[in-house]
Amino acid sequence: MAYVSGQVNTGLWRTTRQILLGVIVLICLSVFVLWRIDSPRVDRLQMAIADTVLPSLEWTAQPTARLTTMLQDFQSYVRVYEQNEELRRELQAMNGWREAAIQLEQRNARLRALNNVQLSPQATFITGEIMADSAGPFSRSGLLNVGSDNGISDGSAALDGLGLVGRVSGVGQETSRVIFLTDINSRVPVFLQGSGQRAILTGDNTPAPLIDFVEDAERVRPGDRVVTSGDGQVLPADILAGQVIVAANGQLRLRLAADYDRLRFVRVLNYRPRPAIDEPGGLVAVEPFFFEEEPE
Amino acid sequence: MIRRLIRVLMLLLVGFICILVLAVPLTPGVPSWPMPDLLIALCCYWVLRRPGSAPVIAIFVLGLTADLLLMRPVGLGALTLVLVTEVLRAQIRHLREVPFVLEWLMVGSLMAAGVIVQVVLMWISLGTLPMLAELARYAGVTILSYPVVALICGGLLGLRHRSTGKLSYSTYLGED
Repeated sequence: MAYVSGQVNTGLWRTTRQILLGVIVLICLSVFVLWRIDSPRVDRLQMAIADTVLPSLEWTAQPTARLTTMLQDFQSYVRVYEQNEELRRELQAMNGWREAAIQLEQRNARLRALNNVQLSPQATFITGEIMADSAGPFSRSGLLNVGSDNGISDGSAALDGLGLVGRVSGVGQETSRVIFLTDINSRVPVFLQGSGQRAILTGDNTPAPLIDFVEDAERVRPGDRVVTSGDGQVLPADILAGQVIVAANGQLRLRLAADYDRLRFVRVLNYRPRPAIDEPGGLVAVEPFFFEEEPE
Repeated sequence: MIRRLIRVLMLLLVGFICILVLAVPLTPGVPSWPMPDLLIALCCYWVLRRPGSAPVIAIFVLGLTADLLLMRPVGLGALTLVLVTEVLRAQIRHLREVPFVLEWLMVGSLMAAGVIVQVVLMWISLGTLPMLAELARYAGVTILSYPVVALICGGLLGLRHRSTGKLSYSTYLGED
Protein backbone atom coordinates (compact mmCIF):
# COMPACT_ATOMS: atom_id res chain seq x y z
CA MET A 1 0.00 0.00 0.00
CA ALA A 2 2.76 2.34 0.97
CA TYR A 3 4.31 2.12 -2.47
CA VAL A 4 1.17 2.43 -4.52
CA SER A 5 -0.39 5.49 -3.05
CA GLY A 6 1.77 8.46 -2.37
CA GLN A 7 -0.42 9.50 0.50
CA VAL A 8 0.78 7.10 3.19
CA ASN A 9 4.34 6.89 2.00
CA THR A 10 5.67 9.02 4.81
CA GLY A 11 8.79 8.66 6.87
CA LEU A 12 6.87 7.59 9.95
CA TRP A 13 5.13 4.78 8.11
CA ARG A 14 8.41 3.59 6.69
CA THR A 15 10.07 3.53 10.11
CA THR A 16 7.17 1.60 11.60
CA ARG A 17 7.43 -0.93 8.81
CA GLN A 18 11.14 -1.37 9.32
CA ILE A 19 10.67 -1.89 13.05
CA LEU A 20 7.91 -4.43 12.33
CA LEU A 21 10.17 -6.28 9.91
CA GLY A 22 12.96 -6.32 12.46
CA VAL A 23 10.64 -7.71 15.11
CA ILE A 24 9.42 -10.44 12.76
CA VAL A 25 12.98 -11.45 11.86
CA LEU A 26 13.87 -11.56 15.55
CA ILE A 27 10.83 -13.73 16.33
CA CYS A 28 11.75 -16.13 13.52
CA LEU A 29 15.33 -16.44 14.71
CA SER A 30 14.36 -16.90 18.34
CA VAL A 31 11.79 -19.55 17.45
CA PHE A 32 14.46 -21.32 15.41
CA VAL A 33 16.93 -21.17 18.29
CA LEU A 34 14.25 -22.41 20.68
CA TRP A 35 13.53 -25.30 18.33
CA ARG A 36 17.21 -26.23 18.13
CA ILE A 37 17.66 -26.07 21.91
CA ASP A 38 14.39 -27.41 23.27
CA SER A 39 12.83 -29.35 20.45
CA PRO A 40 10.43 -31.49 22.57
CA ARG A 41 8.50 -28.40 23.63
CA VAL A 42 8.20 -27.10 20.07
CA ASP A 43 7.28 -30.64 18.97
CA ARG A 44 4.41 -30.57 21.44
CA LEU A 45 3.25 -27.28 19.96
CA GLN A 46 3.49 -28.81 16.49
CA MET A 47 1.41 -31.79 17.51
CA ALA A 48 -1.21 -29.53 19.09
CA ILE A 49 -1.52 -27.61 15.83
CA ALA A 50 -1.67 -30.82 13.83
CA ASP A 51 -4.44 -32.02 16.14
CA THR A 52 -6.56 -29.00 15.31
CA VAL A 53 -5.83 -29.02 11.59
CA LEU A 54 -6.26 -32.75 11.10
CA PRO A 55 -9.96 -32.70 10.09
CA SER A 56 -9.11 -30.53 7.10
CA LEU A 57 -6.27 -32.86 6.22
CA GLU A 58 -8.61 -35.82 6.31
CA TRP A 59 -10.77 -33.95 3.87
CA THR A 60 -7.94 -33.58 1.36
CA ALA A 61 -6.26 -36.91 1.90
CA GLN A 62 -9.20 -39.08 0.92
CA PRO A 63 -9.72 -37.84 -2.68
CA THR A 64 -6.02 -37.79 -3.49
CA ALA A 65 -5.51 -41.28 -2.14
CA ARG A 66 -8.43 -42.42 -4.29
CA LEU A 67 -6.87 -40.66 -7.28
CA THR A 68 -3.47 -42.29 -6.83
CA THR A 69 -4.99 -45.74 -6.43
CA MET A 70 -7.04 -45.11 -9.58
CA LEU A 71 -3.87 -44.19 -11.47
CA GLN A 72 -2.10 -47.26 -10.16
CA ASP A 73 -5.07 -49.42 -11.08
CA PHE A 74 -5.03 -47.98 -14.57
CA GLN A 75 -1.35 -48.73 -14.93
CA SER A 76 -1.86 -52.30 -13.82
CA TYR A 77 -4.84 -52.60 -16.18
CA VAL A 78 -2.58 -51.72 -19.11
CA ARG A 79 -0.21 -54.58 -18.40
CA VAL A 80 -2.77 -57.07 -17.23
CA TYR A 81 -1.54 -59.89 -19.47
CA GLU A 82 2.03 -59.74 -18.26
CA GLN A 83 0.77 -59.57 -14.75
CA ASN A 84 -1.38 -62.63 -15.25
CA GLU A 85 1.57 -64.68 -16.43
CA GLU A 86 3.67 -63.38 -13.60
CA LEU A 87 1.03 -64.23 -11.04
CA ARG A 88 0.66 -67.74 -12.44
CA ARG A 89 4.38 -68.34 -12.07
CA GLU A 90 4.35 -66.91 -8.58
CA LEU A 91 1.39 -69.07 -7.65
CA GLN A 92 3.27 -72.21 -8.60
CA ALA A 93 6.20 -71.19 -6.47
CA MET A 94 3.85 -70.28 -3.65
CA ASN A 95 2.24 -73.73 -3.61
CA GLY A 96 5.55 -75.22 -2.61
CA TRP A 97 6.01 -72.63 0.11
CA ARG A 98 2.49 -73.17 1.37
CA GLU A 99 3.17 -76.83 1.91
CA ALA A 100 6.33 -75.98 3.81
CA ALA A 101 4.51 -73.36 5.86
CA ILE A 102 1.75 -75.74 6.89
CA GLN A 103 4.26 -78.32 8.02
CA LEU A 104 6.19 -75.72 9.95
CA GLU A 105 3.03 -74.41 11.55
CA GLN A 106 2.04 -77.86 12.75
CA ARG A 107 5.48 -78.43 14.12
CA ASN A 108 5.44 -75.06 15.77
CA ALA A 109 2.09 -75.75 17.37
CA ARG A 110 3.36 -79.07 18.75
CA LEU A 111 6.47 -77.47 20.17
CA ARG A 112 4.50 -74.62 21.67
CA ALA A 113 2.11 -77.03 23.32
CA LEU A 114 5.09 -78.86 24.82
CA ASN A 115 6.54 -75.59 25.98
CA ASN A 116 3.33 -73.95 27.20
CA VAL A 117 4.45 -70.61 25.81
CA GLN A 118 2.66 -67.44 26.79
CA LEU A 119 3.09 -64.87 24.03
CA SER A 120 3.59 -61.44 25.44
CA PRO A 121 0.22 -59.72 25.75
CA GLN A 122 2.03 -56.41 25.43
CA ALA A 123 3.03 -56.97 21.81
CA THR A 124 -0.14 -55.54 20.36
CA PHE A 125 -0.36 -52.96 17.63
CA ILE A 126 -2.55 -50.09 16.53
CA THR A 127 -3.03 -49.36 12.86
CA GLY A 128 -3.23 -45.81 11.58
CA GLU A 129 -3.42 -44.12 8.23
CA ILE A 130 -0.87 -41.59 6.99
CA MET A 131 -2.77 -38.35 6.63
CA ALA A 132 -0.01 -35.94 5.69
CA ASP A 133 3.69 -35.94 5.07
CA SER A 134 6.43 -33.43 5.48
CA ALA A 135 7.71 -31.26 2.68
CA GLY A 136 11.17 -29.94 2.01
CA PRO A 137 14.60 -31.49 2.15
CA PHE A 138 15.04 -31.29 5.92
CA SER A 139 12.76 -34.07 7.05
CA ARG A 140 10.97 -37.22 5.99
CA SER A 141 8.04 -37.91 8.25
CA GLY A 142 4.34 -38.63 8.18
CA LEU A 143 1.36 -37.69 10.28
CA LEU A 144 -0.80 -40.61 11.49
CA ASN A 145 -4.45 -40.28 12.44
CA VAL A 146 -3.99 -42.13 15.74
CA GLY A 147 -2.66 -40.55 18.89
CA SER A 148 -2.44 -40.79 22.62
CA ASP A 149 -6.21 -41.34 22.82
CA ASN A 150 -5.62 -44.60 20.97
CA GLY A 151 -2.76 -45.57 23.27
CA ILE A 152 0.24 -44.54 21.21
CA SER A 153 3.32 -43.53 23.09
CA ASP A 154 6.41 -41.65 22.02
CA GLY A 155 9.22 -43.74 20.58
CA SER A 156 7.13 -46.75 19.51
CA ALA A 157 8.12 -48.66 16.41
CA ALA A 158 6.02 -48.15 13.27
CA LEU A 159 5.79 -50.97 10.74
CA ASP A 160 3.94 -51.71 7.58
CA GLY A 161 2.97 -55.31 6.78
CA LEU A 162 6.56 -56.28 5.97
CA GLY A 163 9.08 -54.30 7.92
CA LEU A 164 10.12 -51.34 9.97
CA VAL A 165 9.00 -47.94 8.66
CA GLY A 166 10.23 -45.64 11.39
CA ARG A 167 9.49 -44.59 14.92
CA VAL A 168 6.94 -42.35 16.53
CA SER A 169 8.26 -38.95 17.50
CA GLY A 170 5.65 -36.58 18.79
CA VAL A 171 2.21 -37.66 19.94
CA GLY A 172 -0.89 -35.51 19.99
CA GLN A 173 -4.31 -36.48 21.21
CA GLU A 174 -5.56 -37.68 17.85
CA THR A 175 -2.41 -37.57 15.75
CA SER A 176 1.14 -38.74 15.94
CA ARG A 177 4.24 -38.14 13.87
CA VAL A 178 6.32 -40.98 12.42
CA ILE A 179 9.93 -40.25 11.50
CA PHE A 180 10.82 -42.51 8.58
CA LEU A 181 14.05 -44.46 8.34
CA THR A 182 14.98 -42.29 5.35
CA ASP A 183 14.93 -39.07 7.39
CA ILE A 184 18.33 -37.42 7.76
CA ASN A 185 17.95 -37.40 11.54
CA SER A 186 16.95 -41.04 11.85
CA ARG A 187 19.43 -43.33 13.64
CA VAL A 188 18.38 -46.88 14.45
CA PRO A 189 20.59 -49.52 16.09
CA VAL A 190 20.46 -52.68 13.98
CA PHE A 191 21.85 -56.19 13.94
CA LEU A 192 23.24 -57.75 10.74
CA GLN A 193 22.09 -61.34 10.88
CA GLY A 194 24.54 -62.99 8.51
CA SER A 195 27.70 -61.91 10.25
CA GLY A 196 26.26 -61.20 13.68
CA GLN A 197 27.48 -57.63 13.91
CA ARG A 198 25.84 -54.55 15.27
CA ALA A 199 25.52 -51.33 13.29
CA ILE A 200 23.66 -48.05 13.10
CA LEU A 201 21.16 -47.39 10.35
CA THR A 202 21.56 -43.78 9.22
CA GLY A 203 18.98 -42.10 7.02
CA ASP A 204 20.17 -39.68 4.36
CA ASN A 205 17.04 -38.80 2.33
CA THR A 206 17.80 -41.55 -0.19
CA PRO A 207 15.52 -44.58 -0.58
CA ALA A 208 18.33 -46.80 0.75
CA PRO A 209 19.64 -45.71 4.18
CA LEU A 210 23.29 -46.12 5.07
CA ILE A 211 24.51 -48.91 7.36
CA ASP A 212 27.15 -47.22 9.46
CA PHE A 213 29.65 -48.21 12.17
CA VAL A 214 30.10 -51.80 11.02
CA GLU A 215 33.08 -53.36 12.73
CA ASP A 216 34.15 -55.70 9.96
CA ALA A 217 32.54 -54.70 6.68
CA GLU A 218 34.35 -57.52 4.85
CA ARG A 219 32.21 -60.17 6.50
CA VAL A 220 28.93 -58.55 5.51
CA ARG A 221 27.41 -59.98 2.35
CA PRO A 222 24.77 -58.39 0.15
CA GLY A 223 21.44 -59.95 0.93
CA ASP A 224 22.05 -60.39 4.68
CA ARG A 225 18.94 -59.69 6.68
CA VAL A 226 19.01 -56.64 8.92
CA VAL A 227 16.85 -56.50 12.05
CA THR A 228 16.63 -54.01 14.88
CA SER A 229 18.90 -54.87 17.76
CA GLY A 230 16.86 -53.29 20.53
CA ASP A 231 19.88 -51.44 21.87
CA GLY A 232 18.98 -48.15 23.49
CA GLN A 233 15.66 -49.51 24.80
CA VAL A 234 13.60 -47.48 22.32
CA LEU A 235 12.65 -49.98 19.63
CA PRO A 236 11.99 -53.65 20.37
CA ALA A 237 14.54 -56.14 19.06
CA ASP A 238 14.15 -58.42 16.02
CA ILE A 239 11.97 -56.29 13.79
CA LEU A 240 12.89 -56.81 10.16
CA ALA A 241 14.29 -53.67 8.56
CA GLY A 242 15.53 -54.99 5.22
CA GLN A 243 18.49 -56.51 3.41
CA VAL A 244 22.05 -55.36 2.90
CA ILE A 245 23.03 -54.06 -0.51
CA VAL A 246 26.46 -52.78 -1.49
CA ALA A 247 26.52 -49.47 -3.34
CA ALA A 248 28.85 -48.78 -6.27
CA ASN A 249 31.33 -46.97 -4.03
CA GLY A 250 31.48 -49.86 -1.58
CA GLN A 251 29.17 -48.37 1.02
CA LEU A 252 26.83 -50.72 2.81
CA ARG A 253 23.22 -49.68 2.36
CA LEU A 254 19.86 -51.13 3.27
CA ARG A 255 17.15 -52.22 0.89
CA LEU A 256 14.10 -51.44 2.99
CA ALA A 257 11.68 -54.28 3.58
CA ALA A 258 8.80 -51.84 4.06
CA ASP A 259 7.08 -50.83 0.85
CA TYR A 260 7.58 -47.07 0.97
CA ASP A 261 6.11 -46.53 -2.48
CA ARG A 262 2.70 -47.66 -1.38
CA LEU A 263 2.83 -46.64 2.23
CA ARG A 264 -0.61 -45.76 3.49
CA PHE A 265 -1.41 -47.81 6.58
CA VAL A 266 1.10 -48.11 9.36
CA ARG A 267 1.06 -50.31 12.46
CA VAL A 268 2.39 -48.84 15.64
CA LEU A 269 3.68 -51.44 18.09
CA ASN A 270 2.52 -51.03 21.62
CA TYR A 271 5.79 -52.06 23.17
CA ARG A 272 7.10 -51.27 26.59
CA PRO A 273 10.63 -52.31 27.41
CA ARG A 274 10.82 -54.95 30.10
CA PRO A 275 11.76 -53.41 33.43
CA ALA A 276 15.40 -54.09 34.15
CA ILE A 277 16.20 -55.83 37.42
CA ASP A 278 19.13 -53.99 38.92
CA GLU A 279 18.53 -54.18 42.68
CA PRO A 280 17.51 -56.93 45.10
CA GLY A 281 13.92 -55.70 45.37
CA GLY A 282 11.73 -55.12 48.39
CA LEU A 283 11.54 -58.71 49.68
CA VAL A 284 13.95 -58.25 52.56
CA ALA A 285 13.29 -54.58 53.16
CA VAL A 286 14.30 -53.29 56.55
CA GLU A 287 11.24 -51.81 58.16
CA PRO A 288 11.91 -48.43 59.67
CA PHE A 289 11.44 -48.37 63.38
CA PHE A 290 9.64 -45.40 64.88
CA PHE A 291 9.74 -44.70 68.55
CA GLU A 292 6.47 -42.82 68.42
CA GLU A 293 4.58 -45.88 67.24
CA GLU A 294 5.89 -48.11 69.98
CA PRO A 295 3.01 -49.61 72.06
CA GLU A 296 3.03 -48.50 75.64
CA MET B 1 -10.63 -0.95 3.32
CA ILE B 2 -13.01 -3.87 3.52
CA ARG B 3 -12.03 -4.94 0.03
CA ARG B 4 -8.42 -4.99 1.13
CA LEU B 5 -9.30 -7.05 4.17
CA ILE B 6 -11.06 -9.56 1.95
CA ARG B 7 -7.98 -9.68 -0.29
CA VAL B 8 -5.74 -10.41 2.71
CA LEU B 9 -8.10 -13.15 3.86
CA MET B 10 -8.00 -14.56 0.35
CA LEU B 11 -4.19 -14.64 0.46
CA LEU B 12 -4.34 -16.49 3.78
CA LEU B 13 -6.87 -18.96 2.38
CA VAL B 14 -4.94 -19.65 -0.83
CA GLY B 15 -1.71 -19.93 1.14
CA PHE B 16 -3.30 -22.46 3.48
CA ILE B 17 -4.52 -24.46 0.48
CA CYS B 18 -0.91 -24.46 -0.79
CA ILE B 19 0.24 -25.89 2.56
CA LEU B 20 -2.43 -28.59 2.44
CA VAL B 21 -1.44 -29.52 -1.12
CA LEU B 22 2.14 -29.94 0.07
CA ALA B 23 1.01 -32.07 2.99
CA VAL B 24 -0.85 -34.61 0.86
CA PRO B 25 0.98 -37.93 1.22
CA LEU B 26 1.52 -39.17 -2.34
CA THR B 27 4.64 -41.26 -1.75
CA PRO B 28 5.67 -40.53 1.81
CA GLY B 29 9.20 -41.40 2.85
CA VAL B 30 10.87 -41.69 -0.53
CA PRO B 31 9.49 -39.09 -2.93
CA SER B 32 11.17 -39.47 -6.33
CA TRP B 33 10.94 -35.69 -6.74
CA PRO B 34 10.66 -33.25 -3.87
CA MET B 35 7.51 -31.18 -3.72
CA PRO B 36 8.08 -27.52 -4.66
CA ASP B 37 7.57 -24.87 -2.02
CA LEU B 38 4.32 -23.54 -3.48
CA LEU B 39 3.86 -21.09 -0.64
CA ILE B 40 6.91 -18.98 -1.46
CA ALA B 41 5.95 -18.90 -5.15
CA LEU B 42 2.45 -17.75 -4.25
CA CYS B 43 3.65 -15.06 -1.86
CA CYS B 44 6.21 -13.72 -4.34
CA TYR B 45 3.60 -13.47 -7.08
CA TRP B 46 1.07 -11.87 -4.77
CA VAL B 47 3.52 -9.32 -3.40
CA LEU B 48 4.52 -8.25 -6.91
CA ARG B 49 0.91 -7.88 -8.05
CA ARG B 50 -0.97 -6.67 -4.98
CA PRO B 51 1.59 -5.42 -2.45
CA GLY B 52 -1.10 -3.64 -0.50
CA SER B 53 -3.05 -6.80 0.25
CA ALA B 54 -0.01 -8.88 1.23
CA PRO B 55 1.05 -7.42 4.57
CA VAL B 56 4.21 -8.75 6.20
CA ILE B 57 2.25 -10.10 9.14
CA ALA B 58 0.03 -12.28 6.94
CA ILE B 59 3.07 -13.67 5.13
CA PHE B 60 4.83 -14.32 8.41
CA VAL B 61 1.79 -16.16 9.80
CA LEU B 62 1.58 -18.30 6.66
CA GLY B 63 5.27 -19.12 6.82
CA LEU B 64 5.16 -20.10 10.47
CA THR B 65 2.06 -22.26 9.95
CA ALA B 66 3.77 -24.03 7.07
CA ASP B 67 6.87 -24.62 9.19
CA LEU B 68 4.85 -26.11 12.03
CA LEU B 69 2.59 -28.25 9.85
CA LEU B 70 5.13 -29.50 7.33
CA MET B 71 7.88 -30.34 9.85
CA ARG B 72 10.32 -27.92 8.28
CA PRO B 73 12.94 -26.29 10.52
CA VAL B 74 10.68 -24.11 12.65
CA GLY B 75 11.18 -20.40 12.02
CA LEU B 76 13.58 -20.81 9.10
CA GLY B 77 10.93 -21.13 6.41
CA ALA B 78 9.05 -18.11 7.78
CA LEU B 79 12.27 -16.10 7.95
CA THR B 80 13.28 -16.73 4.34
CA LEU B 81 9.71 -16.21 3.14
CA VAL B 82 9.50 -12.79 4.82
CA LEU B 83 12.98 -11.73 3.66
CA VAL B 84 12.43 -12.80 0.04
CA THR B 85 9.07 -11.03 -0.19
CA GLU B 86 10.52 -7.89 1.41
CA VAL B 87 13.35 -7.75 -1.14
CA LEU B 88 10.78 -8.16 -3.91
CA ARG B 89 8.56 -5.49 -2.36
CA ALA B 90 11.42 -3.02 -2.58
CA GLN B 91 11.89 -3.87 -6.28
CA ILE B 92 8.25 -3.55 -7.31
CA ARG B 93 8.74 -0.39 -9.35
CA HIS B 94 11.48 -1.99 -11.45
CA LEU B 95 9.89 -5.40 -11.81
CA ARG B 96 6.63 -3.88 -13.01
CA GLU B 97 8.00 -3.00 -16.43
CA VAL B 98 10.18 -6.04 -17.14
CA PRO B 99 8.93 -9.10 -19.10
CA PHE B 100 7.84 -12.15 -17.14
CA VAL B 101 11.02 -14.13 -17.87
CA LEU B 102 13.16 -11.51 -16.17
CA GLU B 103 10.80 -11.40 -13.22
CA TRP B 104 11.02 -15.19 -13.01
CA LEU B 105 14.82 -14.96 -13.05
CA MET B 106 14.79 -12.46 -10.19
CA VAL B 107 12.30 -14.45 -8.12
CA GLY B 108 14.15 -17.68 -8.87
CA SER B 109 17.50 -16.35 -7.73
CA LEU B 110 15.89 -15.04 -4.54
CA MET B 111 14.32 -18.45 -3.89
CA ALA B 112 17.71 -20.12 -4.34
CA ALA B 113 19.26 -17.58 -1.99
CA GLY B 114 16.50 -18.40 0.52
CA VAL B 115 17.41 -22.11 0.44
CA ILE B 116 21.07 -21.19 0.92
CA VAL B 117 20.20 -19.02 3.94
CA GLN B 118 18.28 -21.94 5.45
CA VAL B 119 21.17 -24.34 4.96
CA VAL B 120 23.71 -21.89 6.37
CA LEU B 121 21.60 -21.29 9.49
CA MET B 122 21.14 -25.04 9.96
CA TRP B 123 24.89 -25.49 9.55
CA ILE B 124 25.63 -22.78 12.11
CA SER B 125 23.30 -24.44 14.59
CA LEU B 126 25.07 -27.80 14.03
CA GLY B 127 22.06 -29.47 12.44
CA THR B 128 22.14 -32.44 10.08
CA LEU B 129 22.37 -31.20 6.52
CA PRO B 130 20.76 -32.88 3.53
CA MET B 131 22.86 -33.70 0.50
CA LEU B 132 23.69 -30.96 -1.98
CA ALA B 133 21.95 -32.69 -4.89
CA GLU B 134 18.77 -32.95 -2.83
CA LEU B 135 18.85 -29.25 -2.03
CA ALA B 136 19.55 -28.32 -5.63
CA ARG B 137 16.60 -30.40 -6.82
CA TYR B 138 14.36 -28.81 -4.20
CA ALA B 139 15.37 -25.29 -5.23
CA GLY B 140 15.04 -26.17 -8.92
CA VAL B 141 11.55 -27.61 -8.53
CA THR B 142 10.49 -24.58 -6.51
CA ILE B 143 11.80 -22.19 -9.17
CA LEU B 144 10.06 -24.19 -11.90
CA SER B 145 6.79 -24.04 -9.99
CA TYR B 146 6.72 -20.23 -10.13
CA PRO B 147 5.26 -19.90 -13.67
CA VAL B 148 2.64 -22.53 -12.85
CA VAL B 149 1.57 -20.66 -9.73
CA ALA B 150 1.63 -17.42 -11.73
CA LEU B 151 -0.59 -18.97 -14.39
CA ILE B 152 -3.08 -20.25 -11.83
CA CYS B 153 -3.17 -17.00 -9.86
CA GLY B 154 -3.28 -14.80 -12.96
CA GLY B 155 -5.81 -16.96 -14.78
CA LEU B 156 -8.15 -18.23 -12.10
CA LEU B 157 -7.92 -15.52 -9.46
CA GLY B 158 -7.46 -12.67 -11.95
CA LEU B 159 -4.39 -11.30 -10.22
CA ARG B 160 -2.50 -9.26 -12.79
CA HIS B 161 -0.55 -6.07 -12.82
CA ARG B 162 -2.77 -3.09 -12.64
CA SER B 163 -2.47 -0.92 -15.73
CA THR B 164 0.77 0.98 -15.28
CA GLY B 165 1.21 4.70 -15.22
CA LYS B 166 -2.30 5.74 -14.49
CA LEU B 167 -3.03 6.96 -11.02
CA SER B 168 -6.74 6.49 -10.57
CA TYR B 169 -8.70 8.19 -7.86
CA SER B 170 -9.21 5.01 -5.83
CA THR B 171 -5.50 4.14 -5.79
CA TYR B 172 -4.76 7.73 -4.83
CA LEU B 173 -7.01 7.33 -1.82
CA GLY B 174 -5.20 4.15 -0.92
CA GLU B 175 -8.19 1.90 -1.48
CA ASP B 176 -7.06 -1.52 -2.66
